[in-house]
Amino acid sequence: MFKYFLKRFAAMLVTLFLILTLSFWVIRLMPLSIFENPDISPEIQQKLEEKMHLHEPMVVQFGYFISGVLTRGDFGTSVKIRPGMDVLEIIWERVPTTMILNAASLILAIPLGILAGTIAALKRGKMTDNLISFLIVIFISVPSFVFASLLQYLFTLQWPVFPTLYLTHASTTGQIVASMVLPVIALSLGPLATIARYLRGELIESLSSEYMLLARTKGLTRGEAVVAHAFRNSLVPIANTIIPLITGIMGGSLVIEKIFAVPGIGGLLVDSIMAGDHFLTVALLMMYSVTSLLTIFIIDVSYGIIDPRIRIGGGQE
Amino acid sequence: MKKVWGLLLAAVLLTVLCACAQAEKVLHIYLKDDCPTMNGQTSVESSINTPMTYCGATLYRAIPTEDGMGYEFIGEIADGMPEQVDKNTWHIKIRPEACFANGEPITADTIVYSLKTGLDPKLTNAMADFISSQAINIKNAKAYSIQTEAEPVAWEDVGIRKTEDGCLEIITEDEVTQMDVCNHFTTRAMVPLYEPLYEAGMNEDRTKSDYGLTVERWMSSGPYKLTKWVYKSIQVYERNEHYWNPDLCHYDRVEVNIIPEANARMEMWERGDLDLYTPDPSALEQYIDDPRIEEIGSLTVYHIDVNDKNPDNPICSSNNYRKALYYAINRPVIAKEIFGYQEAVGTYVNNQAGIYSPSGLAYRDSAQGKEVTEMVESWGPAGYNPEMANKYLDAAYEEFGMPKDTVLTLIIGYNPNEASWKPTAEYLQEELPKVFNGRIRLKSVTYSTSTTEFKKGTDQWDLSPNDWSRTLSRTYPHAAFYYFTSGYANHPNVYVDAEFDAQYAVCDSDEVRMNYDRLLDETAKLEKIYLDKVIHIPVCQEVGYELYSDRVVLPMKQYLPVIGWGLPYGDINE
Repeated sequence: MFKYFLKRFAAMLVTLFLILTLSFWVIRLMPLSIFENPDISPEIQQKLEEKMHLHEPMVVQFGYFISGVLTRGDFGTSVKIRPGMDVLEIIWERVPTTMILNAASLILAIPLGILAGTIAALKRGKMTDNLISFLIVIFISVPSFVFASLLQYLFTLQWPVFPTLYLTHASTTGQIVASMVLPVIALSLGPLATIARYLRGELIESLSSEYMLLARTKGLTRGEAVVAHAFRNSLVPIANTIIPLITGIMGGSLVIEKIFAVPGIGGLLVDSIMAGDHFLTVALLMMYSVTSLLTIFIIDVSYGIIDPRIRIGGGQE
Repeated sequence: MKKVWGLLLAAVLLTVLCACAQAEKVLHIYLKDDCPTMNGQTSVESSINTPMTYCGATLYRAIPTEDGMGYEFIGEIADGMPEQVDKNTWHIKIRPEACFANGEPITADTIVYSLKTGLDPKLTNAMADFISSQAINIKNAKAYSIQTEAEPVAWEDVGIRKTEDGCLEIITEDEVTQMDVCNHFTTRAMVPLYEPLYEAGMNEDRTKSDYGLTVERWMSSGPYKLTKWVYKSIQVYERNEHYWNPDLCHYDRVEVNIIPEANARMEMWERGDLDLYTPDPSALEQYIDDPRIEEIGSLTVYHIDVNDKNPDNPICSSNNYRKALYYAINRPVIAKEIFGYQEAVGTYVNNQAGIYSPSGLAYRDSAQGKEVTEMVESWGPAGYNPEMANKYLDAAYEEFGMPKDTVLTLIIGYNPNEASWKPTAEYLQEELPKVFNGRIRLKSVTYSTSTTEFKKGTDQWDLSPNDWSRTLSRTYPHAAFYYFTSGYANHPNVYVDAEFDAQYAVCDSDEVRMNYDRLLDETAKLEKIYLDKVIHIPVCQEVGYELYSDRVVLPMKQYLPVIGWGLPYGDINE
C-alpha cells in the first residue's frame, strides 16, 4: 500500500512540474504586453518590463521563475491586480471566503442531495419521483447564475428578506449569515442535483437487486433493508462525486461570486488573464492543478483501500 | 394632568432631537471594481481616485464655489496658491497644520520624499509620468524616472527641492500658469507617502514596497481616513479628526461597496441602499426619463481608425477613400441605438477640452469650435452623408483607375469583449453595403488583445474601433490630437500626416499655448486638417448618466468635470 501511495505521489509531483512549465510558457507566449496601456508612456513600460525581466529571452525568464519557485516558494509579484503584492498572498487573501461559502453550500447540498435521491428512488415512478427528477434536470441544466440572479431579484428586491450583497462588514453576525444565504443556495443547487441524480440511480439498482430480496425474505422490513443494505451499498459510488466537491471548495464560482460581490477566488483567474497579470495566472493555475491532482490522488488511494484489486492491478501493469 | 402631558411632550421632543442630533450621516456609494492598491503611484486604474479624493490630501484641491456654479482651487497641504519666483520657478508653502491621519506632520520633506519615491527609477512606478509631466513638465523629472546609462540624471538636477525657508520649490521645463501648477498637484500620484510605513514595506533591493496594499499598510491624510478595506467587498471612510479643514466635508462615514454586477447595482439602487447610481447602457432606457437623472461630461470621443497600409486594399492610401468612409458612418444611430444615448459627433475635440483654460471656455463652445461643428453639421447629421460618401468612393476608384462598380471587402477588427463595438461592427457590416450600393462589404476579425497590440501585429485590417482618452486635456484643446501625430511613438493608429503634424506643432508652441484665443484659432485649423485628412473617424462623444438619491444634498448646481456634482462635499438630509 505504501509503495502504491509513493508511486502515486511521485507521479503527482512530476505532473505538477509539467503543468507549471507548460503554464508559464503558454501564458508568457500570449500576444499581450503586460504593461501595454495608453496611460503609461513607452519609456516607463520598457522600464517596468526590464524590472520584471520581461525583456530577457523566455528561457532566462523561466530560469528566474523556476528558481524562485523551487528555492523560495516564490511565484512572483502581481503587476496589475494588486501591484507589488506577492501572488500567493493575493490567493490566500481570497481563499477563506470562498472556502466558507463552498463548505456551507456542501453542508446544505450533501444531506439534501442524499435525501432527495433516496426519496426519488423509493418513490420511483410516482409523482414525488417525477417532481424531484424534474427539479434535478432543471438544477443541472440551467446555469447557476440564472438561479443566482433570480434569487437575488426575488429575495432582495421583491421581498427584501436578505441583503443584496455578501457582507464582510455588517455590525452583527446575523447580518453576515443572512448575506450568505442566497449565494450558498445558488452554489448548492448544482451539487445537490448531481448527488441526488447519482444516488437515485444507484439506489434504484440496489433496490431491485437480489440481496434486497434476500434481506426481505430474512424478515427485514423495507425500511430496515433499505438502510442496512441498499443505502450503504449505494453510497460507495457516490464518494466519486462527493470527493471532488469537497476538494474543490477552494475553487470558487466566477459568476456567483460576481453576482453577490463575494471577495473570493472565483473571478481571480479570469481577471488575471484579462489583465495580463502573468505571475498571478500561473500561480492560480498551479493552485487549481494541485486541487485537481489531490482529488485524483485521494480518489485513487481511497479506491486502493476500498478495493485492493485496483492497487494490485496497477502494480502488475 | 396638563403638567404630565407637558413633561411627556418635552421628553418626546428631547428624544427626537437627540436622535436627530446623533443620526450618523452615512453616504453609500459604489465602485464597479476595487482599487488594486491605495498607493496612488503604482497603478493607473482610475478606481483609486475615489479613496484618494476622500482619504488622500494633495497640495491643492478643487472644491465647489459657494454659489455652486463653479469650482476653485484651495491650498490643501499647501498654504495658499503657488508663487511664481521666475519664469520657470514656483514656490509652494506648506501648511503648518497639515498632517497624516495619525497626527504626524506633513512637511516639505514629506512631499519631496513622496515625489522622489514616485519618480524613483528603481521602483519604476506606473504613475511616474503623472508626477513628471502631467499638467506641467517638471525639470529633468522624466529623465530621472527613466534613467538611462547614456544620460544619467541625479536627483539634485530634478526641479523638485525644499528651500531653506521650508517651501517646496518646483522648476518647470516650460512656462506655465498658476492654474497648471495647481492642477498638476491635485492628482492621486501626489498624495503624500507615509515614510515609516513605506520604508517598512520596502524589499531588500529597494525595487518595491507593499505600501498601500492593505488598510494597515497605508496612511490617510485627507478629510476622511480609511478605516476598513476588504478587497473586492467594501471600503469604509470615517472622519479624520486630525484633518485641518473639518468644515470641508459633511458626512460622518462613507461606505463604498464594490459591486461588479450591473443587476446587483440596479437592485441596490431600487432598494434605496445607494445614494449614487450610474445606469449601465442596458438599464439606461429605464431611467432616461427619470427627473433625477443628470448628464455628466466625459473626455472620451469614440472613434474608428482607418488603416492606410493594408496590402490587400488597393485604395487604402487614398484620401478620397478615407473621406468616403467618414461620410458613410451613421453616427446618430450608433450613438443612440448602440452606445445608448451618447452624443453623435463628427468632430474629435471633446466638449470638456478647454474648461481648465484661463477663461474657462471650452473649445467646443467657442466661436472657433462652433464654426467647425457647424461645418460638419452642414454636411449632414454629425457628418453623415451617404451621397458624399459615394462621391468620394467614385473619386477614389477613379484615382486608382478602378471601375466604379468594383466591390471591395474591408476588414473591421475589434475586441468582442468591448460591449458597444461588437454591435457597432455588426451594424456597419449591414449598413456600409447599403450606403455604398454593395460596393463596400465588411468582414470582421476579432482579437482578444488590446487594439494597440492587434495593430502592431498586422497590417491586414481597414477599420478598427478606438476609445483612447489618454490624449485629452481639459486645459489645452489641441492636446486631444497628440497621440495621432508622429510625435507619439506608441500610438495605435498607423496613419500620420505631415501637415497635421506641423499644425499640431504650431498649437503646442509656448507662444500659442500661453495665448488661449490664439490657441482656439490654431486648434480649429488643426481640427479642419484632421477632418480633411480623416486622421481617423469620430463616432460619438461619451456621455455619462448619474442618479442621486433624494437624501443627498449636492453642493453644485451644475455638473462640472473635475468635481462633477461635488459629491465628496455634499451633505445628507434625512
